[in-house]
Amino acid sequence: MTRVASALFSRLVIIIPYAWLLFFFLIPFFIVFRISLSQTAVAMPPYTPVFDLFGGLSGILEKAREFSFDNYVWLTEDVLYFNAYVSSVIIAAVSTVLTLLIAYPVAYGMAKAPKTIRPTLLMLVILPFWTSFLIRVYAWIAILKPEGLLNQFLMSINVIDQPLIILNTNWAIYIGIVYSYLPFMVLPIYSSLEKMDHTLTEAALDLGCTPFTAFWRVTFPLSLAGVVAGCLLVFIPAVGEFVIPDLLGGSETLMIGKTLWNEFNANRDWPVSSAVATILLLILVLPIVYFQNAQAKADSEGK
Amino acid sequence: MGTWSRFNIASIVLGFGFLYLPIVLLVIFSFNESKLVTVWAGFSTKWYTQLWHNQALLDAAWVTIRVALISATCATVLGRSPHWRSFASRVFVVACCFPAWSMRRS
Repeated sequence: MTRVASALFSRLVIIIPYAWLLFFFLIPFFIVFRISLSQTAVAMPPYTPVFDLFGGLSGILEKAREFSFDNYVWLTEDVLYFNAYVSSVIIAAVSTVLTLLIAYPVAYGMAKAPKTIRPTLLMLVILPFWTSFLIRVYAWIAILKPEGLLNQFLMSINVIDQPLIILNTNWAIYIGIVYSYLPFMVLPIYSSLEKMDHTLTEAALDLGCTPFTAFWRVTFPLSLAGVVAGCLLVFIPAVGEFVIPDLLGGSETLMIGKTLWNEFNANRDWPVSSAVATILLLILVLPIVYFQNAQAKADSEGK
Repeated sequence: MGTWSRFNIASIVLGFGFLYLPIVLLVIFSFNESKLVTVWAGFSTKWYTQLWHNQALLDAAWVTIRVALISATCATVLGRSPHWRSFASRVFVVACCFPAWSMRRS
């Protein structure tokens, strides 16, 4: 009896992740996809066709004929959307590279730190998440604006005599994204560096490598799994980022998250914004699939 | 590793400085007399007094704590997957990241 119960329980435990995936990812995605095939209407909800669940199968089929890919065609006709996708990907890629350049030395320093203070450093990386993300972005507005703290500081030490215009430019977005996603990059790199066998670096140095060559040819390749994981954790959400470009960016910055928000709220065009979201997901699925393969490969090589 | 070079220490100090600068500034300017974040008008705890008398904000904080406790408990129960190494759980983890990324904002 207990065996049956435990078998049943383990089945149930396996079902939970699939049920979660179904209810919180697949079904919402299909709802979005279905709206993207509809047409806008001045109604509640603001699109047609709307299915009547009591209309019978023939009624549903009748209405399903109204579905069309017009919204996707529309996305290719207006160059705005293409530009927004491209500039989002570029901004996200630049930010990812900048985050990597800042995060790697930090993670490397953490991994080299004395064992006793490593848990404290790890805690310090996670701690900023305990203050609201939005408030931290607002703090950057106070720092970066023309009469803000950064310009006050730079002018008081006579580095500049004109305030730098950083807020409402792409630079502010880079700073915002790098700042917000830095822990996502530091943590995976740190965990791969910490696991590394440091006798390998010592061996490389003994065999005549310069410290830099030893780092570049031994340490860095061994931390590559962490680098890839960190880059994807930064790149994927940065492409669809809405809050940072909205608060720190200017009118010249075009990001797909902001375009989507405008379509959805200002234009009330749910079908087009759903089509934008569906394509955004497809763009992002490719790096995720690549990441999964890389991870699986790294795991099987490690065994 | 034991060999903590100057470069390592400098990168940690700069990295954490970058990470904590906005938070430290927020704390400092919460004691500011003025309403502006950029102008220092003297030390005062008046914003904390105001917070203490703002019932709507205190209520909101209490709701936040309850939501956090309940969702953390549910997440712990659901997240305890027995087959962490299987492909399905990896897909699951990635899929869970989508709502997590969006929830982080609110």
